[in-house]
Amino acid sequence: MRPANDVQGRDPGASRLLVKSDLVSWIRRLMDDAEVIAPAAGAGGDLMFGPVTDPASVWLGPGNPLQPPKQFVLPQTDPIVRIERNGGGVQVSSISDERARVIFGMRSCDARGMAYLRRMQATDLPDDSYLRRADRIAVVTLACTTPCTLGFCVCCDAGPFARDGHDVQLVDLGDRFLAEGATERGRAMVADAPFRPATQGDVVRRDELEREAERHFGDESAHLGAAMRRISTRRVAEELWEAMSPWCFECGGCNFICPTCYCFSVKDRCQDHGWERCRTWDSCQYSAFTLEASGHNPRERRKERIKRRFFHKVSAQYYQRDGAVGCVGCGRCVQTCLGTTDMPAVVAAIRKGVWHG
Amino acid sequence: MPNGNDKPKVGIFGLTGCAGDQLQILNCEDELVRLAGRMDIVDWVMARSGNDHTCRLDVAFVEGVVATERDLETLKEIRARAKTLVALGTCAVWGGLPAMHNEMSREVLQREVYNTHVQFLDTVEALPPTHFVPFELSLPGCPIERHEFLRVVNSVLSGTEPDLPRVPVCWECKVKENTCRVIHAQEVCCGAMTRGGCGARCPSHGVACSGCRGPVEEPNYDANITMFAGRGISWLEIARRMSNFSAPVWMTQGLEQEVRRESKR
Repeated sequence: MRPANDVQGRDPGASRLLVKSDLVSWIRRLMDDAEVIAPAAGAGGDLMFGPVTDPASVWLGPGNPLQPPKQFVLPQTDPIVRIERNGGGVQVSSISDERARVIFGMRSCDARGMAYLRRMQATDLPDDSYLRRADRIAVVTLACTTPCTLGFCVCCDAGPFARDGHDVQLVDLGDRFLAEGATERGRAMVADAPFRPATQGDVVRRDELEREAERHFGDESAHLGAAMRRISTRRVAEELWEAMSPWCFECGGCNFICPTCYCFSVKDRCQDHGWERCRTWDSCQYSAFTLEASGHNPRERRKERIKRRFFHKVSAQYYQRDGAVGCVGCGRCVQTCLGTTDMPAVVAAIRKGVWHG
Repeated sequence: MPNGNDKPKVGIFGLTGCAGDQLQILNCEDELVRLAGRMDIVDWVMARSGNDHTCRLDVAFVEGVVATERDLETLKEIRARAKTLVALGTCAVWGGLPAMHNEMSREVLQREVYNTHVQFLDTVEALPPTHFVPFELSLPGCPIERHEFLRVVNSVLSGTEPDLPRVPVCWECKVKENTCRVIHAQEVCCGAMTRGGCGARCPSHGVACSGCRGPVEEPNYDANITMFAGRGISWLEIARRMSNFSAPVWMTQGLEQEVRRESKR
């Protein structure tokens, strides 16, 4: 099932063309109205998302930064309330970030991740501060015509071409990009020159590229449906989590680089004249995550925490609540896990009922 | 501001060790004056003269290990004098570097380091003070982090429990977006086994964590060792890197046997 705003149901005017030599001028134009964030090589050579200063440095080649663009909607330390001394009492004011931003060159998996995060924040007590920030961000994705080696987005229906969460999708057609506006905002972004209407041939080529990409995935796969069925029918033995538990090194890496992980902690940051109450990233794999003030910890053992993590990602209960499986198949956890408890490995273990370490 | 007599009485003590943690307190230069305003440091041999060695103390900080009988007596005296006893530094909490070779006899160690003719040594097996007397709070680190020390002082003075991290070094390393020393440099990094709070000091400078802050609550040594070995690192190298700090706690029997086997080869 594909969402209504999917590119497949596109109207004829939605597909546009951009000659590659015009890309820099387009980015520069976007920079006039908004902060543009795109992947570029950092000081150490690693690819990472950051504000663009030079449009020529934007990297639209293969590879995806290890850090997802999650930090632009959910910063590591996100001040949400300022508490100040005011004579005898205190004054409380909310902090919001409503900068207009464009995240450029994001991949389909991350766009799906952003959509997932927004859906989570918008339902069941909507988080206004999050939504105000997220809604000012336009997303320009780049379709993966060559899938990455560790990615398994086809298993999550999150790629290699964008499904949801994007405003514009660019498809590399060699010397030019096919630009598809998926939303009102996206269509407006690609309406004017240097964009011109796409030909039927370009659209056919785009579909060929998508089918080709879907056939060229690496070794990683995650049969999430099968795993979900086993969880729902209570066919996952406790011993499995016990066996798995030494193989998590509790580094928290999987949470921090996961495009869909949103669990947080609340910390007060002391300022000169008061405090800032901040939402900070936290990891459900740390024993301190669920530690209560009384000293009681409902998930004291590591096996309980691993179980909890994958229950949240893969179970039918959360699939129903969040509208999607909590994995976008970006393969970052495979890349970053010190041990072996990454998503494809654990899904395979749940499905087969055995853990090989 | 209460006058001098109302302020809590504080003592700072060093057993056997490098005094680095006491030095870290002195290094809190910007905060020292404010600290002195909130507490009355009555016994601190390293930093002041005219100390009161017998009075009751509201808070006592102890660094270093118990490595002689005299250390143990001093420790018991401090415990008897203090309402709140705080262990400062990895030595005081876990044993640290002085406890690195506890499995070797004192005679062998003495011979290796000082030759056989030395008479003045009266050491016993180096053990952390926390092994002998109960402590209210522990603040590991080699040396301690200044901001953590100030946080502990703050909460001790206001009667709350300090919010010290219970997570591994990886936490701060990951949020700093450092390059992982294990994954990208194939090094033995003790970060995943070691308690965080240092801001991932060493990995942030491109050096693998040596584990100086002591273990987290549920460290999985065996899996760490297997993981390093799986990356092609020799057992000896793993043992060397992992046993730098608090060897008795850190090392597993299996690893020690492997090291012995490997050194014979």
